[in-house]
Amino acid sequence: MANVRLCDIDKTFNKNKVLSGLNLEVPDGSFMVMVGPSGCGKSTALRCIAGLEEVTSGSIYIGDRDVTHMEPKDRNIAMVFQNYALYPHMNVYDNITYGLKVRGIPAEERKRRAEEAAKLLGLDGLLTRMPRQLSGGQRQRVAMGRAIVREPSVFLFDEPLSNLDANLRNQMRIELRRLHQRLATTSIYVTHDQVEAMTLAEKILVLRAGHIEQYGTPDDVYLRPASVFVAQFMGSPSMNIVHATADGGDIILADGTRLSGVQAKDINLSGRKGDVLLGLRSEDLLFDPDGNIRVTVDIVEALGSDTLAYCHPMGKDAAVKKDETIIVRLQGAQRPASGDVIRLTARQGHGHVFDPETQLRCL
Amino acid sequence: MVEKKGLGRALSHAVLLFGAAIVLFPLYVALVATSHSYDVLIGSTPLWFGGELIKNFTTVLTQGLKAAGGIPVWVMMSNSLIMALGIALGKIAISITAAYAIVYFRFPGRELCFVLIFITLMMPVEVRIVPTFQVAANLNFIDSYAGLILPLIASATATFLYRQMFMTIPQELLEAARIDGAGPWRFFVDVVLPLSRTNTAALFVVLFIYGWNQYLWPLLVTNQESMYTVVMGIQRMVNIPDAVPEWNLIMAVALLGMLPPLLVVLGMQKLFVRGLVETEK
Repeated sequence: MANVRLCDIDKTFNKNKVLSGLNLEVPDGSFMVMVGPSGCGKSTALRCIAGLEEVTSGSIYIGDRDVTHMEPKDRNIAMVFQNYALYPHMNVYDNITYGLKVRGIPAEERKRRAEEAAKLLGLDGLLTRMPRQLSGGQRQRVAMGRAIVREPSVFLFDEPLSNLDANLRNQMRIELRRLHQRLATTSIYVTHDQVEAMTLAEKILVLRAGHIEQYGTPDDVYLRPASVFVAQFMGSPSMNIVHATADGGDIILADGTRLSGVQAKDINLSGRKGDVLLGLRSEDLLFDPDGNIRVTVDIVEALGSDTLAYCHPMGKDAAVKKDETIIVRLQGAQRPASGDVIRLTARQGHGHVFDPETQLRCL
Repeated sequence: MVEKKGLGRALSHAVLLFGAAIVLFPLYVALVATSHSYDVLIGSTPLWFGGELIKNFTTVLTQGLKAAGGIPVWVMMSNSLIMALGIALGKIAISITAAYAIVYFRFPGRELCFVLIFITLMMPVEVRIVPTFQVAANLNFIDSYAGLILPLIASATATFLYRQMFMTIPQELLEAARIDGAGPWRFFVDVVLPLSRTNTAALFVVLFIYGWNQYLWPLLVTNQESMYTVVMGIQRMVNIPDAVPEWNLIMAVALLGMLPPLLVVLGMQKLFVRGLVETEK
């Protein structure tokens, strides 16, 4: 059990800066998810914590120990890889216990731990199988078993579910959650899937081009995104962002519609005038015959439980940008046709306002 | 593969049998020749068996050819066996460690080392045979197993094959092993060696036959009859001054000389084929 601290981590690959000035602390026993688009440095950050990559500068602490220059084996971590990295010539039991064997843990203890892990993961009958005789989900479990038996102070997961099909992924996600509740070992999990991030994390770290965009609880990240990037990255479909103007406490859309009281409670616009970016999630736009926002429906996607309507804003102002698309989530029964003009209201207190210059949340 | 039926099938078998007959005919002639006494073979090539088969084999195995020094063939065969095994195992041991170093360690001049090893591919034994002989002679390697084995023990081909094979082992396996706490030596023994098992078997077959069939080098490096190998020994038996070659005995030696490579191929056939086609990953 230990917390993990990164202090001013820089990582450069042949003059390419992959991580710059990473500072964060993962509390003891928490589940932290690093998320971001591909190439944002999340896997590199994980590999630096694992010790598979040397950091260019900065230091890493696990618990009270400075592990910056330690070998992976001395850091007391265990890692689950995306492609599982099981030893193909060893059976499940040997795969799970190899790390213990190398460390000279006696055979009886190895057996006890392996059986315990197998029971926990539902691998009981599979201990003598070879990896090639296992399904993807079973291999995934073996990879986790290998991490668990080591009883490390930190688990590292590198996109462990991305090779599984959608159903299995949901199932494994829940199992992972359960496992974490049981073991309560500090875990750092890398994914590009924001659903995984939202459902698994106690803390989410959103990375972009090697720096931290936001670090907070899933609610923080979803309900109070720190920047336009986070707002659009988290949540599906991504948040609608439209150009608007602030006028005292109100927001005026490009077509002249005046909205009052839509912005979230932590945003104080009084005294602010001029251009802003207004962000509204698709579920915060409500179908309402008396609404003051008018949009033209372009494409309708029926998902069963609800319907996504891709709309263009319209109004008397010809300057409204044609390419600005607004996505509205409608209840299952409401199915407007393409070309319809519908009216919407924005839910009070759910709008996000960003500065168009810095792209950061206005507070 | 398309399975042929009827006439097509018969035709394919006919072609196959014809090919097999062509390959096997010289062996048949050798076997027939072995079964006659030596005077029958002067000036004629019998096509059916005589009654001396067992006697000729016993003669070569126990006494050898009197005129060619009288070394029993089993001595030559054991020399050949020691040489072939030494070359095959030595080549494997050296190239697998060399390839491991080149693939898994970052050291200055790594690429240069690989290039140097690779360049030696372009230099067959024959090209460097005079200097090699000089070195072997200075080291007192003449008429010794070391002399038969050591000069042939490095293999650029095998190093190259192992390097290519190691490069197909996923990087994550190495990383998983590092996190599991395995050092370079443990990773080599516990992961790399078992994973290259089939490749090693295939290489062993090829290299054993290569070693067994060495002709020129044993001819140079051995002077005493007791160090002769079978393959070069046969040649000595044919070229005896002022004597008629005893073809019945020579053919017996030739057949015996073919036996060990045949056994190696048959014994390791399954692994050999797997090593050539399968990637167990």
